[in-house]
Amino acid sequence: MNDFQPQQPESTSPGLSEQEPSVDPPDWTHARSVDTAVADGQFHHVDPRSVPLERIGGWISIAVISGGGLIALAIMLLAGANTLSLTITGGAWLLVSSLLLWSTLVYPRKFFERLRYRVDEDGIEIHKGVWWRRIINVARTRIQHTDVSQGPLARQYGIAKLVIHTAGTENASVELPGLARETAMALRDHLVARGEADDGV
Amino acid sequence: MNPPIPGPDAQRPGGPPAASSHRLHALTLPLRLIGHAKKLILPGLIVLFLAREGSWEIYLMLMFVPSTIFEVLRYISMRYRFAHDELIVNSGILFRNERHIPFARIQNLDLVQSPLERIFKVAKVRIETASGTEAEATLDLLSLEAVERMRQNVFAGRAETAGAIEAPEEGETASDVVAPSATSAARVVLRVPTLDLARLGLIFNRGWALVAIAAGLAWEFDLWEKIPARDWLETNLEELDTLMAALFAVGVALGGMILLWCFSMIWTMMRFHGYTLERIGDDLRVTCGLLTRFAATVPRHRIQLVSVHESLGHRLMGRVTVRIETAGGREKEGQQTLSRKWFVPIMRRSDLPGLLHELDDGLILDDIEWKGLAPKATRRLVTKSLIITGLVCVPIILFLEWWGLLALILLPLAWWHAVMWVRLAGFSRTAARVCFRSGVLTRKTSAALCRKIQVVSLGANPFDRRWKMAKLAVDTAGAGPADHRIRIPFMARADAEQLMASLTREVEHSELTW
Repeated sequence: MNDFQPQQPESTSPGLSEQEPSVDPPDWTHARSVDTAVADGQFHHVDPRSVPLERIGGWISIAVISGGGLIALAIMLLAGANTLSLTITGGAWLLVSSLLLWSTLVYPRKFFERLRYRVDEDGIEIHKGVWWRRIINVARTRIQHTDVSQGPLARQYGIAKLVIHTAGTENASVELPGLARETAMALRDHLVARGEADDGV
Repeated sequence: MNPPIPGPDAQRPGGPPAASSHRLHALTLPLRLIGHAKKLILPGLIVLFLAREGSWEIYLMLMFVPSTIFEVLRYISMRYRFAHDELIVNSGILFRNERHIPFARIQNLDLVQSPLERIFKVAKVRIETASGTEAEATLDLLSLEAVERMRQNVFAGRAETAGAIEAPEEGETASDVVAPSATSAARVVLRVPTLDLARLGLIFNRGWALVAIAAGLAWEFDLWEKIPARDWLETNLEELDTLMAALFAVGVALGGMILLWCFSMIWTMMRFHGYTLERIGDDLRVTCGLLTRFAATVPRHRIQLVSVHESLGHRLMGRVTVRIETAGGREKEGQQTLSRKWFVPIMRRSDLPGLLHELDDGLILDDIEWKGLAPKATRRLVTKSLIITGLVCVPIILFLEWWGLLALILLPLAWWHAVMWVRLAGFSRTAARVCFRSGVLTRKTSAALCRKIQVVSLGANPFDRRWKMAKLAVDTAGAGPADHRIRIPFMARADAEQLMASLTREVEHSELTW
């Protein structure tokens, strides 16, 4: 995690999911200046703030699921269920909770440490995955359109996800999560900008 | 506020007068309603005769009423017209929709004619473009002259293949092709004789669908109690000794299988009767069908992937099945199946090179240098197969005890299958294509044009990483119908990375052309 781009925190601009009738000029020029720096053919990691963001999401899931499970267990106890069903439910609850705990505490760091991307004139190459490690290569000529999306939490942190849509089937959309919003926009501009005309007949 | 979408007859302000808009054919309503009624007759009869008193299934017949209303509304609201370079379809009453489809973007123009529709010389038309999961426009029903006009407009709109005028569509006989203009003539590439279709029915036994339906009906209506001969059967069966009972059971099973095979052959012969593949300029046209007639057009340059399938049955009879994939449209029964999954339902193995050349110049699948998988691939696949087979055997043995030990014969079979799979698998990268073959009993060979590749990806799970292997996946548009993806497992890592780099370079430097 030691060769990532220094990012400008963007906490005052509006979120992307609302309608943006016109874009403020400072946003665009800033993004453009990051553009050339990003498309340098070097590997980049995503924004390190994505890890605490994932963790928060994980804690919320734990609160909801494990909390709900606890309540269910308590109800079963009070209603006088037999020991066997209590043990089974309790065991299931333990299993699910430990999985959730692992995916909140351990997994985000591993995932984002492994996640890196490289952009050059011809396309983007994304390395991702912890257990099943993938390298996905999308050429610029094959990108149909792109999305930059942010959930409500991500907006506070200034983190966005870049989704690249292709005409493929299995890889119809390729996701690159955890980017700083500006980097995502700069990547989007770079990847979609093409001198030639369209790709249809 | 956006202005409301004008009604179908409104003229665009300031533009040329709109061409007159056409309604669907006058016979649309009655024929569609008959079609709906047909769908309800068979279940209706079943329900009538087999259901108990006051069962709820009878009320399903009331479905006929809302579908009638729906059809009337649809007929009233749908219109189409030709602008100078696009087809415009207006539909909907409450939510009006105007769809513009540029002629240049139309990929397929497919026709379906049920027997009744053939008598009246009308057809259901599906228009597909590269995008989306459904057809862009489904016009049913249009008269054959209207279809002909549409074809002329569409093909005239395609600047490249100028002046390819299509022949009018089928009547009672197969492929009456009227000689078109001088630039491109319709040329028959392949005809499939009915006997071959019978062979196809043998190979792809579709009788099992009938079994499933019958079993479902039996369960739903408790048919077992209603078999009249049941008591007689039960008393007689008890008198037979074990050997005779076993023979009887085998006889019944065999009889059932033969019946299923006959059903399958008849179905296939009717479905693909008179199959003809023609080449007209840059388009491939398929027509077939005995009662319901299908016609599908596939432009050559839209083909993304070509896949040749040979099952054991195929090999015994020296035949193959060819499937293709084109962009746009999801797999569904009907004419889409025809233009992709059953593009060439069956043909002679020896005719294959000629056909492949028609699909794509220079496409050959024999005599190419196949590269094998990583050396340790056999070991990995054998281990994996044995573990899975072992896991499957365990509950069988536990359940059936001594008889379950017979299941252990699966283990050497799994071992043999794994060894053969690795030995027969291979990939090849020629100048413009990447090919992959796999399978032991059913052998599938697929070729994808590098121009059509969308995304290349490489994956490695922990076992792959330990053995320095990887799996390369090549993604194309509209994958699925060919039932074979170019996903090469157990490649040596160096080979995989090299192939990925070379494919990526090829993809980056080729513009995507639909």
